[in-house]
Amino acid sequence: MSSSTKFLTLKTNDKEEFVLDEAIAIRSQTIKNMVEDDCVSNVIPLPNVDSKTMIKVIEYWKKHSEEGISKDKLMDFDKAFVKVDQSILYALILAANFLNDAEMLDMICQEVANRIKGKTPEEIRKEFNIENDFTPEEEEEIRNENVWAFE
Amino acid sequence: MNFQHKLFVSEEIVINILNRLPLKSLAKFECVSKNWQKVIAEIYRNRLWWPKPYQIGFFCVERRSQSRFFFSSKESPLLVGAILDKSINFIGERVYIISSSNGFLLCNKLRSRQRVYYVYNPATRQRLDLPKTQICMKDPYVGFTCKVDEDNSVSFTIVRYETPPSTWHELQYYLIIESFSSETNVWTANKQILDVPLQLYPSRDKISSSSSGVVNGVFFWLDNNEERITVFDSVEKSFWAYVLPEWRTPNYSNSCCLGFTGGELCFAYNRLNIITCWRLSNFRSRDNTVWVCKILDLEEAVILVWRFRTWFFILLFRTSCICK
Repeated sequence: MSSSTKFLTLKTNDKEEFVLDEAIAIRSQTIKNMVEDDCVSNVIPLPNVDSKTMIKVIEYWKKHSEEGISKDKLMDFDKAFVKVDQSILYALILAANFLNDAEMLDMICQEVANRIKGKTPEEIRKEFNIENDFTPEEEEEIRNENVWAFE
Repeated sequence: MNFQHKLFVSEEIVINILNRLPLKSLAKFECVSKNWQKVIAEIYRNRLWWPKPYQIGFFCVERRSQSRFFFSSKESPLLVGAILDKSINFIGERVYIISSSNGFLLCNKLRSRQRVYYVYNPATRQRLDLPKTQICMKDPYVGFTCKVDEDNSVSFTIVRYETPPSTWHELQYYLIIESFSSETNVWTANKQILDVPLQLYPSRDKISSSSSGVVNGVFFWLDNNEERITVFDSVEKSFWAYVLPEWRTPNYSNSCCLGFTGGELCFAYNRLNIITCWRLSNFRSRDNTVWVCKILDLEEAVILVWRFRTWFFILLFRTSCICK
């Protein structure tokens, strides 16, 4: 371990602490900004992330920071990484969004897109907890306009 | 239900996810909620040029009659016939396809005497309205070329001219050429002096397309006397005409068309169900162009011929039959 390695302590909302190499932690733009602005005290609180999700995030960061790792290996890793339960995936979106890691966020959004692409509007509403604010007539009209998409 | 199981996300994330969906899913999800409908409309606008149209299939509007529209894309397979989904029903009702290039269509809307042009992407069903033309032309010849760069940016040029109806039997010494470039987003009209005076005929039809082609900034139109094609080199800024091959053949008029395929300007002529096709070689040189004849062999060419009451037909053939 080189003497210049700096460590940061990240504290999730369920009071777990994670000690992480700064070089890895700054994959998060949010943490990077804090480090650059020199407003890092001993512990960085992450009020929007729980420990279960943070473990996954760190797993991703570490893999993507490995030196000399091949693109194929990373792709395989990413593929396996997103093969998780819906609830974990959604927690990861929120974490990636809060930590401001565009690469991870894009990857997960792509996975969500793949999962929802074949669903019906009803399933989407349930999935995303969206209230249908169209009248039946309005909805019928929109469906008629896009009738080709339902075939 | 578990709190985390449902997604409570910002609109930004919803856009990020929806942006990755194919058109078909988006069309399906428009009725999810008013907010999704709004977000999807925004995505449509941003996607005007994306995905690129697929360059298989063809488009036409029958003259003075019910519209027909044909196109093919990855997400909605080849649609043939007059009964199509409502999103493209506007074509044929005061809106006409006048030209196509690289899969994009140039459409024309008649609004009293004013012509409104827009570019339409059949793959995304999005349109881009163009600004008003500088001058009013009654029956212009219109040429359209659309270029898609490697970075998927799209640029296009439109050139139009008109032969004043009152003077069509006289020699023309100049023309007004009006052009539009997507880079400047304005129409500019210029007086084009003709080196060789020409007797030009007015475009015959108010609504249908002028048979035209564009190669490397050189615009070609089938003049309505059907003895020749007119040419405008938008780079060299010159205008001239070529005599067509075999133009003295009986029933020649109304059965020929001009098209651009595989980097070549082609002229096709239909007589007694035999289609003869010529390609123009050396087209940039005014004096050294040659028409090279090619009788289309049905086995090597995919030919789609639609003949309407007015003998208007469109040809689509594999570029290989031209290149051979």
